[in-house]
Amino acid sequence: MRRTAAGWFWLLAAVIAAAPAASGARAAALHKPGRIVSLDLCTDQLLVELVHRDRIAAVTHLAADPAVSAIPEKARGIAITHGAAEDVLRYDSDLVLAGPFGVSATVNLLRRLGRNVVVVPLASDLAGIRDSVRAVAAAVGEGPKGEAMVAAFDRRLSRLAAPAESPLTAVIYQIGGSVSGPGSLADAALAAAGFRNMSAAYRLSRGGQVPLESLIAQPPDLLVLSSQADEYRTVLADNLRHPALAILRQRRPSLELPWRHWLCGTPHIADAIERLAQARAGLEARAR
Amino acid sequence: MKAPSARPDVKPVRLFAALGLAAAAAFALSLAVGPAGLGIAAQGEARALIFTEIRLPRALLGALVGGALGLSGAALQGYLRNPLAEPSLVGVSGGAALGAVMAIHLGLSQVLALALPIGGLAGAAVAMLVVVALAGAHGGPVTLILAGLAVSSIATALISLALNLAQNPFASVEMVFWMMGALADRSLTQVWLAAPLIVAGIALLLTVGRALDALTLGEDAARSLGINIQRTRLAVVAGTALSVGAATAVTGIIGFVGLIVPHVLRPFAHHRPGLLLPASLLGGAVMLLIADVGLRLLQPWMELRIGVLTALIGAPFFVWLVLRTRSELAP
Amino acid sequence: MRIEALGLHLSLRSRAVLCGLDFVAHAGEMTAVIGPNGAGKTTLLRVLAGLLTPAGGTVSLDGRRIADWQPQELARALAYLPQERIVHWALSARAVVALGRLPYQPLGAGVSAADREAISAALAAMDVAHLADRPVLEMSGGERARVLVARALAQEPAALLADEPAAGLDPAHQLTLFRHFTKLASVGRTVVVALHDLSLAARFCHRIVLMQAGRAVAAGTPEDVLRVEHLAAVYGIKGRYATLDGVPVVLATDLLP
Repeated sequence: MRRTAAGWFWLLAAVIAAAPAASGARAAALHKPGRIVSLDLCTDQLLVELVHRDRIAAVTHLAADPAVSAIPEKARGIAITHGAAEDVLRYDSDLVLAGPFGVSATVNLLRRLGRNVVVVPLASDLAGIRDSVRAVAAAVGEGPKGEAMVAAFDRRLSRLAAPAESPLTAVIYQIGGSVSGPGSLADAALAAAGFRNMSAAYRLSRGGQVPLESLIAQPPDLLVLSSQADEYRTVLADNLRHPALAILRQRRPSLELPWRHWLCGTPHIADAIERLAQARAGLEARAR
Repeated sequence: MKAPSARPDVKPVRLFAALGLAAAAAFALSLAVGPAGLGIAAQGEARALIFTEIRLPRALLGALVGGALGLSGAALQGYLRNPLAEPSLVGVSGGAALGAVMAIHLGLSQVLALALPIGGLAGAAVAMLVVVALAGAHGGPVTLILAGLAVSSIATALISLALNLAQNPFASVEMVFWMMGALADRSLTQVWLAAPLIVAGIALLLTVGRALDALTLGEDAARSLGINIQRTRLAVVAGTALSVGAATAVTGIIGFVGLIVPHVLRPFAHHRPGLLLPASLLGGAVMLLIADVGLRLLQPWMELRIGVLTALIGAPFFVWLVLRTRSELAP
Repeated sequence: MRIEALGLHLSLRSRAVLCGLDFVAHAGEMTAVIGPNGAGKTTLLRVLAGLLTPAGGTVSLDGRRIADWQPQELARALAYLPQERIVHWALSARAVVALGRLPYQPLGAGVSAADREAISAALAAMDVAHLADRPVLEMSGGERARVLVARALAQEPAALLADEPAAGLDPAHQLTLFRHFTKLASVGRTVVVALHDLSLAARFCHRIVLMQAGRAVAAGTPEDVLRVEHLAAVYGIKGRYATLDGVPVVLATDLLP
């Protein structure tokens, strides 16, 4: 009886000792998800830079598109999802990252099915970018890496020259005549580089489009073009190929700033800001 | 027996003089109106640039496209002997848009700029031939509308498919361009590209006046008067395909111009299909130019597409037509 | 113009409509084509007008095969008046009649003085001059019919082929119409009319061709053709050919069992 009791005691002790280890392992597993699916280009890019690709189950097809992604090479070869709930379930993911728009039906369904979904809000300014990085880092269990990313971002920004007294004007002119209005990421990038976003001066349509005429009648100090005219085959890009725009660019300073640098709220926007700041320095030098 | 129709006694010469004047005035107005004001806000170089590279192409396209739409509407109504025919109702505009979308998304228009209007013309020709085959010249209004609807629907579905397969983020917005039309921010390059084909189509369509007059009496009587029906059909199909195909390739689908203009002008042209052709050419130009001016005047309050505006004018007109037909057919 | 057709064979929608038909019409004569419904009268007229090409047989106008005639030449020489009185648009009577002058107006040419004369004469002949500016679609059936005949007359053709021109006309206008056709024939034109009204055929036509099932069963003067046995065989009626007040009349007195 003493031997059996001892047996039971050791068995119980073993179980009790193992329990924290087991829950710890589980907790560790939750703490660092290993089958992550991202449903949004912006979370794609953050994810790919924060975790090893072995932990990524799928990203969107845009992550490897050099037109819109800042890190296409890093995303190449990762499985692609188009965002349907079935697709996501197929990967049996332990974490789903999504943006605020576009896949809300999928997100709701996944939540109802008990999946772990983290929705990362859209960054509309530089502070928002820091929040996005931290949010994704926390979700994937790479808090320290996230902080390092933010710190590097801040270091790059601090190296930029301070904006002048009366800042030069700039406008980012995109496909279809769209310009980025105030309160957008592009607007924040222009401000960080020391420019004043001139979009407010134009009579914008509901969709935020500037007629080419207005642009020519009141050109900004720096005209920023968001993508090469041939990047996408669409009739909407006709405005970027318009002869009048070409003539305007001959007469006034312009800069081609690829979309991929400032489309998403990632630290890569620093690339865009640095180039804009460079352009500003050039213009100010010329003015003196 | 229906009530006698109002027959304004207008001599053809006076009709064309009035329409010509209206077209010239509308063209001038189109040059003068725009977001940059009447050119006062901009100085020197900018003003010249705006006028020559932005306003001029817009006005030229408005005149050419409007004229092509009005003329082809009159030609289709005359040839099909059906007052409901017009390029967009008969599916031709949809086919043209599909041809243009294919040319762009297959990359053909990057290799050869002319591929765009040619794509439009090919799409328009195929659509027209299908509709004429489906409905036949003896098909009544119902058959014609059904055939046109069928071809339009297929074309729209295929455009949607093509844009989806193109996998670019602008697919849905581009769909709006094709379905609603746009004259804004087109360039002179596009005008030079489309204009020769549009003008060729217009010239071809203007030659069928005599045949359309004879067709008033039916195909047999027309043939006995020496009209070559095959050649007439070829001219109508080719002329419509060239003019509407090239126009739609550059501006997207603009509907109702070809329906309304011949209807409004028909009493003034003494109901003669031959006279209605050049009248509708001028009338179509006037209508589209004025609509485009209206669009720009509304811009501070509403951002409308030209196709939406012509539909807003055209749909009530259509309803009135249906009601009038109903009252005519009522016992 | 002498119109001659030999051995015409034609099928429409895989049904034989003309089966070895011979036909001749002389200048200066009015020839009637009669026969029951479905005999092929309209088809014959369309073949003679050059609108249908027969699978077998020939059609010659003034000794020349119809295929050798130029379309414009043919349009000036021969006017065809269809049975369906189609007018698609609300043209005025004058405008409709003016269409008859199209073969004389090359592309782009306007209305000449000769055209205007022909139009006025045609309107007067058909007693529709007072309706000249009214839309044809607002006229009665008979008035519209007369306007359409006037269109054919305006063509000033050497030969006139008319399919049921008198249908729907009141007796007075029927007489006027046929008297005018007689006048046309008397100045040397060729007139061919497809008819249902046997009395009209008997009264005004120099020759009658009786058709049945795509063949010419009898051809000759009214007396020769409108015999009791022909009427019985072709129409299945008991018919009488008589003269009333000097005017020939054909009556169907009864149906045959």
